[in-house]
Amino acid sequence: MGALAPVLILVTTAAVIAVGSAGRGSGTRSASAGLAWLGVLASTLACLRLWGHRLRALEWLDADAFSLFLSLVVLVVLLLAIPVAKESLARRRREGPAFYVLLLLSAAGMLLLVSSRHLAVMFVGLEAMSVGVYALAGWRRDRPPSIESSLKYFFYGATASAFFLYGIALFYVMAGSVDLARIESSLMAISTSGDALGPLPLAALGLLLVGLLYKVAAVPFHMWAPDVYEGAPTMVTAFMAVAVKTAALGALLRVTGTLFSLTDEWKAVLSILAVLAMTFGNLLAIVQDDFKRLLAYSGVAHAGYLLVGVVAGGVAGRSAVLFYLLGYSFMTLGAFAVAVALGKRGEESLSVRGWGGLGWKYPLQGVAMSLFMLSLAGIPMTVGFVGKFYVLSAAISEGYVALVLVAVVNAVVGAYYSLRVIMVLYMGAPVPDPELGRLGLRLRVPLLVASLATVVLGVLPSPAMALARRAALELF
Amino acid sequence: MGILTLLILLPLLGAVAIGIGSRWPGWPRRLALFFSLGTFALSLLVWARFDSTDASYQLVESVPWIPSFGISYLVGVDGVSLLLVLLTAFLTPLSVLGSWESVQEKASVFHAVLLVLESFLIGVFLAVDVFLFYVLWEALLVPAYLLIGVWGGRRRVEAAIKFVLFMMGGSIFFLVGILACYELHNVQAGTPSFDLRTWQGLVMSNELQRWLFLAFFVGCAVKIPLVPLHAWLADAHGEAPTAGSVILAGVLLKLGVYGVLRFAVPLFPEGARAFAPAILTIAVIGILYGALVAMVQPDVKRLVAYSSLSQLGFVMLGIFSFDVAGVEGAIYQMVNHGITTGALFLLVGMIHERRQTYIIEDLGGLKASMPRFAGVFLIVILSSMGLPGLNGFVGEVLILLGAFQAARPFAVAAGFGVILAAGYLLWMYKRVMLGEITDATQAGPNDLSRRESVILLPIVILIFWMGLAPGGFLRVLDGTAERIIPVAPVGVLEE
Repeated sequence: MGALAPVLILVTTAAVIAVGSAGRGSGTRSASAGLAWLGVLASTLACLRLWGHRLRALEWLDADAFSLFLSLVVLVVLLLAIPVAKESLARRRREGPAFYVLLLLSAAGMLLLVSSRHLAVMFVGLEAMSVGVYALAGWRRDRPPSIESSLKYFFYGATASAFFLYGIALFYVMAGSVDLARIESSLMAISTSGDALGPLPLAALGLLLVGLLYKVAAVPFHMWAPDVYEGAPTMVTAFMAVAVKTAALGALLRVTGTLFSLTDEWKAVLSILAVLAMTFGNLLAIVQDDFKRLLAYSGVAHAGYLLVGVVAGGVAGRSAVLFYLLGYSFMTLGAFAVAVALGKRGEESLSVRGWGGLGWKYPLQGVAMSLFMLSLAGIPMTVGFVGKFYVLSAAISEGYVALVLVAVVNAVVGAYYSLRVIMVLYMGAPVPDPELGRLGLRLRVPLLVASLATVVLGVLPSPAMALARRAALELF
Repeated sequence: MGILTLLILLPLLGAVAIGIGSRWPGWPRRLALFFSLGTFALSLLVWARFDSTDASYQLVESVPWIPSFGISYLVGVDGVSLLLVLLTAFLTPLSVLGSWESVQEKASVFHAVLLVLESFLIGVFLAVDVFLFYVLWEALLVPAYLLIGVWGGRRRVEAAIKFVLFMMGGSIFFLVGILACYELHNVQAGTPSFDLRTWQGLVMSNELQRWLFLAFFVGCAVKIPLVPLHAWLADAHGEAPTAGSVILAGVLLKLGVYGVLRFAVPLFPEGARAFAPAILTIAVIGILYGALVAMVQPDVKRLVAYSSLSQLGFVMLGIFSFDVAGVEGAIYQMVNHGITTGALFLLVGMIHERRQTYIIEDLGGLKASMPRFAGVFLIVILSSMGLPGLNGFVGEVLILLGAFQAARPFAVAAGFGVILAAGYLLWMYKRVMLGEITDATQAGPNDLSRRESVILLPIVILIFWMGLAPGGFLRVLDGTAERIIPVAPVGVLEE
């Protein structure tokens, strides 16, 4: 049961908060944020304890380095996001225990999704993750965009789940099992015995991929992202952009890692999707003024870079994707946190144009935002550069030269909108001082941690790379 | 910690000190001057320790950095990098002094950014590990972007973005080339390595060499810049503050040439040979085109910027003549260009401080009230034209000598560039310094202040020194220049 501990801790904490706050409405002050944070911390520690033991629980849950690496990314994201979310909600008097309950349950779903090679369990994880986020996106019931966001995400998400489920069903029909390893071995046996399976495995894998690519927000399954990102509360958006993407990519790595050995026709499709995601994401990000929409499209572009790593495959490709996810989490979460910190009490200020000259008045926010933008643009000495470098070197050693060329050209396009944010902050026409007041600890500490991580992982990436490599080796 | 690491770290330390000292007005620039002078002193020490008979990298320091990729913090110095480091360390204190009064807004950040840029530039020239090189080569865009974009002229923001996008656009080719070489080394040697010295032994087909040469060369050509990749040049140099222009023109343009000398030619000699005729043609077009465009500029600063285009064409001509004299001349000319163009930007900045304009038409007759300034200006212009006895002459003669050996038609065409240079420079001098004061409302401006004399004196001394006794500087290059040339001089178009 040890392998289950991180998930159980999250679920238990969620239950405690839910029961403890029963009868109290949202908007009241409570200790639920603190409790939730402690629960996540305990879960993180449990993950750390499991590292290196390669435990299995109940035949369907693996606590190998791969699962733990991704679980840790998700949990660290939560550790940083919860204080910022509390601050952001408290400023708008919208805090409530249910928010944290949903957040924890969603995170538990993510942990399941990345820790199982059992397709049915993965589906449960996928759903648990998604249902939580559907509700969180609509947290601001008073704002129509938030409700729209929630509904949109729900409809798209439900469609994605249907695809995924259909894919599982097809595999079950063919292999009589939903365990990835068994599917692989029995399909291998069938094809070596000479029985033709036809296009069925191809179709089944395609359906699984579609389900996951929705969550990753890769082209052409990204249509929901800008509207949903824009409407949802900022830190929920951050959670979606970072944690959901991480969990879904983890699952994608696991699925492709096993099943590409059966049929790798989808590899070509994935590489085309990677090209489309990078190109569309970056080009459309250029024309955005709303910061959340900008990050939505940037997220699409980064999904493209990540897919390059998935296509490259092998230990190098997989560890590159894992490292990239770690770095992407810090820089994107950080960017969202600065956006919160640049908002006044009571309202958010998310128009990039409205930040003119603020970098000089609020140096901490300015420097942090510049750092995250440089990292997203892939400028050296930030984790964004090392991540791209890692992915591209894996791709080139597998011979995907054209893919690498597209990726580097896209890096220049991506630099444009990232630099534009810095340009507005430091060179833009100054706006009236929004009088933001002092940064509280709840914003200051996560910002500092994310900034430090962005630089440290960019300058001294070796230890994290070694962990990512170990995680990639222990996959399966 | 070795002396080279110290040389890279000292300006960074200065930036930190400025951050601490920023609360006392007046201190940031003093600290910046102090640390940049310290860096210059340290660079002289490196020169003193340098053994010019040894062609390999010297004073090498190596610390593993990302072992799984074979990346290490590996720095060393050879003839080319020594001269460029000296140039960087020489120009930075001068640009700090040059912006002593003109930069008042956000002065502490300005000086910190300037020192960070210096540190990265020195690091780029000293890096022997290719990954380290690329990291610094890209990272220095950030301080350069800020220098142009925050403290520049009226159209600074546009110029800054254009600058960075052009630079990144070039770098990506470079990056792909680096990744390919890395993978090649991985396959051939079985171990990952970014050590440039081990890359020298890579075995490549001629076709692959041509492709990789092209990737590296295009990456560098944007920075040099070569026609037609020069569109960012006039904007960036024209809009940057004086200190920015000095560093941009004096040092940053050399990065491209340095990349060619360090990677493109020695790693892919066959590729270099194959493309030499095309590159020589582009170089000569750049020489003539740059000179002609410079001639018609109404803005002095942009005129100087376009003169770089012409002069860097000469440098490329020297390199791709594949002749020892030509290559040595090219490297020498690179340093000359850094000094004289840096000086021109400083002088133009001084005019701007007095008259608040760069437009040639609004100037005129300045000589009457500033005789000493006029004298220095003339010396710098003559050096830029290549008057015998001044530094520019040595470089130009060596380049043309080399080119005459190997690529005669190109040398002849380039010769016209020398004449055109005399034309646009002297004409500009006449319109700005001589004649009547065109704007009668303005009294004659003051002559050089003590601070300005302190800036210009070392430049004038160096112009004469490098012109009259080039031996000391050229000796540094002896070993290095031969190593760069691909096997034997190639007789392009001279069958």
